[in-house]
Amino acid sequence: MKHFASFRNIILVLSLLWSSYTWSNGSVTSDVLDSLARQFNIEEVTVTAQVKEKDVIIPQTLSGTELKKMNALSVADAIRYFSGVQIKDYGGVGGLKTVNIRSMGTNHMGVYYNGIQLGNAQNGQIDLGKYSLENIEEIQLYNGQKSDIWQSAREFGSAGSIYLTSRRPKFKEGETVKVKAQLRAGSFALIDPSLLLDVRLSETMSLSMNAELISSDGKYPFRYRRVTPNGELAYDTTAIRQNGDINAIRVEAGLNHYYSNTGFWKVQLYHYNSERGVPGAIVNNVWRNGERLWDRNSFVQATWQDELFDRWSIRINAKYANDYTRYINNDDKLIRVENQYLQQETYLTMANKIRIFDWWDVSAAYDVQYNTLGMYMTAHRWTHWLSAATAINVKNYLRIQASVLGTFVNEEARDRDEAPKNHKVTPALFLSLRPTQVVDIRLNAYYKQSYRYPTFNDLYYTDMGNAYLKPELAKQHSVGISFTQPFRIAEQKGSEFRLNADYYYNRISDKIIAYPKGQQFRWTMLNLGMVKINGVDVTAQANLLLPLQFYLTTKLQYTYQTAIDVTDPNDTYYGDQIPYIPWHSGSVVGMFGWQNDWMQYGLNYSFIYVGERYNQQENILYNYTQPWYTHDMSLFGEWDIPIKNYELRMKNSTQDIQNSKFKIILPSVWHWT
Amino acid sequence: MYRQHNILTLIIHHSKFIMMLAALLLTNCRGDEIVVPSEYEYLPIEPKAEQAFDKNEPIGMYLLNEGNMGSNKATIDYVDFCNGYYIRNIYGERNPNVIKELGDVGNDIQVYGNRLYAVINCSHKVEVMDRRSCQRIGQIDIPNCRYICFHEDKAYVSSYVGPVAIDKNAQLGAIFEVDTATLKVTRKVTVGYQPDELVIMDDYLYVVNSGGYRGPEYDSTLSVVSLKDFKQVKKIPVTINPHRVRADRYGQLWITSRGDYKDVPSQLVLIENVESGVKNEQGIHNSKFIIQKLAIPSSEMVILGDSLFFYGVNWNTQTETNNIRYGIVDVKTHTLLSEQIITDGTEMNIKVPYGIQINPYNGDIYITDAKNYVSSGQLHCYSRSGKKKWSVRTGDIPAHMCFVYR
Repeated sequence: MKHFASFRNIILVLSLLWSSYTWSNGSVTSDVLDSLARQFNIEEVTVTAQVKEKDVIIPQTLSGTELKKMNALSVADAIRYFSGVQIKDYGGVGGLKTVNIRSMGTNHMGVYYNGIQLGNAQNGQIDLGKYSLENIEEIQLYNGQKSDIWQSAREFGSAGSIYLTSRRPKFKEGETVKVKAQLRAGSFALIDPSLLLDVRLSETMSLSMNAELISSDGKYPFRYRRVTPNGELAYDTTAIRQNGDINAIRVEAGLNHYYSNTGFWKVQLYHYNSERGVPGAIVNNVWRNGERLWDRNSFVQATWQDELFDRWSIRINAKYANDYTRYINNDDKLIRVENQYLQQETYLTMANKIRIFDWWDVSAAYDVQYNTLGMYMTAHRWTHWLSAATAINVKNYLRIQASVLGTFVNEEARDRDEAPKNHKVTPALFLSLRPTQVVDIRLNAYYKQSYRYPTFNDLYYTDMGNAYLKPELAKQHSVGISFTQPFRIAEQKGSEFRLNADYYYNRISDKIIAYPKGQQFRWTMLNLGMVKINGVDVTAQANLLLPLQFYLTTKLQYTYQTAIDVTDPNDTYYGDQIPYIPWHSGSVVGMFGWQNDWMQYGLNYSFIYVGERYNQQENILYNYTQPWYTHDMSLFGEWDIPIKNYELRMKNSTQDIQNSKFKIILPSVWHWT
Repeated sequence: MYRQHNILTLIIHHSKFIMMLAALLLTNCRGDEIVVPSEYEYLPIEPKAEQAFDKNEPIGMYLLNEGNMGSNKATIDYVDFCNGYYIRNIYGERNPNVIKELGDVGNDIQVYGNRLYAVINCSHKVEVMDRRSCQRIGQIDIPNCRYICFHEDKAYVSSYVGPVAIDKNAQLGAIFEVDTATLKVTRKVTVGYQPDELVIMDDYLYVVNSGGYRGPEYDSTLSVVSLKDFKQVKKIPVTINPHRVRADRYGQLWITSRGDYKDVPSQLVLIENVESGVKNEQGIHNSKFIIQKLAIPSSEMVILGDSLFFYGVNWNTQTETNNIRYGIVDVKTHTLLSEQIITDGTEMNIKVPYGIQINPYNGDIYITDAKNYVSSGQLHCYSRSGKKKWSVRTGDIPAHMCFVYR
């Protein structure tokens, strides 16, 4: 289906930075200075997929300037550049955007905000479109799990993890207060002003605040064009998307105290509030829908970590989240719906790591969480996680990480005699072999089991929920090779070439699917599905620091995968690729630029390709979805004009040089007749 | 130095590779999207010239596939008894210029006169086509339309949307009267909540009110509308959440109830004395309706002569399976004649029966299987003795069937 139109999307950025230099620089610890220096380094050089010595699993990373140059609004836009992931996008600024790794399903993915998982016990879906890049400094994607075994127990439970790290305030010497105001404006009446305030309270303590408003009318054009099989134009019509508007506000505040070389604590507040239209599916004779959605997500989270007795690393995280959703369907032709949901989550974890020898670490963590769902339907759940892990480094040649996780779920009382077991134990084993220290070549392999627990909707949703569901099991097998080579160009250090290739085989069993029940479109959820996934991810990247302050970054990412339904040989779609999973997908990024102390110019190009796929289970012509691709090019100039303490930063970029397409995911709507 | 040179070469190769791959990807790009063409499939039916068909022998059968809500996948298939083949998805090809094709959720299909009428529920319209070519003649916009029936030169369409009421919770439904010559709505009458099937006997229209939007407080009434002044003359309680209503040749009405999906099972309800019951209301007679609830779970039925063929599907929460029952009821004696329609055991292959029709000429039985609602279904044909003759793949949620005659 062709829901796209040619148009230009212009984004204009204007930012104003004001700094106060009244801080008299006293005795800043060398560590803090070091870390500041490192951060400035990161600012200047594009650092991606930085291979830490500890990493058994090399994450895909987007950070610093590279992230800024993406011209992306939300985390979802940036994640498209990672290999092995699929984004489900319902279109527009306000459309739901969820991520799926290696075809295992959104609910197998863990999304962590500053180290603590974002939860949605109701439907398990994290809308990454809600997380603005404005305040994000780094995005990391791990297949399997994070390398560092010093993690909370729950983190061992995801099949793949995305870590979002929010910006940490940085101060130049003597700087105490920093204010940045920015206004972004774009097509479809996009207005995105933001305000940032960083205050240095003492040499080790800082306060950061950030507020952002996003508004768009979502009135983008889309086009339907069909030809007959013999090539004649059947119809060609362009319409304007209605009811796709969004108004959202996000406010964040953080207090950090880095009180020693090893210890710090921080407290963070997050508040997001939005109202949006749900454009809905366009069908014959219907061009507008009346659904509206209000969302409020608020959480407060705190972290403390330190190293005790030189060997014992301890981290304690706590979180309370309160999420409210209201959905109405205002269409006077259809059933009127008004549903409200209130979710609460309280979470506490303690993670410990003990260094037995320099080459041997062990860790143990315990997490507990209490979830409630109220208003439209009520449910509550206690979950406990207990993990143990070990990491061994054999003379930098072989790294091993092994972990085992126990998950214990206490649902509310079930009404059938035989409630399924509510605890599961899942192992994981990761290996990384570096055969020679001369060149940085690593061979990686892992095996991991993980469960996706049924959501509250799966279990209790009116008429459809099935309280007897078992968790869905994902088994992952992966092998890979990575190669990194730093080099210099004309005596200039810092250039690098990197190549990464993985092959994986995943198997999902007891997959939770909607099953037809009785008469007339009534469904229930059953553990019936089975999917086999085979795939290859390849990433290649070259960062070149050229003479005369020029730089060039090129990055290529490609994924091939098959994800076939092997539920029941009697199904017409047995052996077919599951919906919305393309066989081929990839992206190409090129950034060329020049910069000096107070100005920079750059040309960025990116291309994202999502190959042909099917929008329903059967791979037949009727369900065929054409490839989707987009080219983005931006040309920018940035001048820091110092007027006393002010810096005026101007950026003008033009996006999307060719067709851009807004793909509407066909929604699955449960319907009563 | 030597190694550095190597790396640079590699990078140059690497960028070439990028360009090659980009070029490769670009060639594998979007092409024109075509109107999904019809597919033809031969059926084991002996071809026969149209002239050889009897006046009362169907030459073809249309099948309306509902398509899951929001998918815009309502399609029409056609069984061609003359040529002995099945045409899948005929509408798009015959009407390539219609934007977004037939529409969303096909809910009823009927032939009347020379025309084919398809009620497209979530496209809020009745599509009017030529009964032979399936080419579009026009459409009648009726919000949330459900079922259609005909009387003289008028069509009557049930709709979940009655007046735009001040009380938003009410949402009483309506019957729209349409002039078949002009395709314009001529009259409208408000009935009960979420009216579904309707039938006309003599000068009265009978429609069941399901109250489906109000569950668990479903409606349970039958509205009687006088065609003369288009007024609701009576509303009689019949059974909870009724869905279908059919008349037999003895002037009785047969109604299916969906039950409440929990405690009250689906059932078949019979109303005798219909005519005198209505007239009683107007003071002409003393007789009353006689309402008989039969403990037969019934989702869909078709009446041919004295036989009412039905199937019932009910979900069993304990076994997590569908309980499916088939049977035949004698409409004259009100007794269950048989507990099966399919006699060769092939009913085991039907996951969710979703439509039934009987060829009035040769007694062939057609039963559709909606499977999981979001993939192709199947149409099965059985002989009058219940032996399977053939099966064919259909569109998504095959549901409603009607015959075409010479």
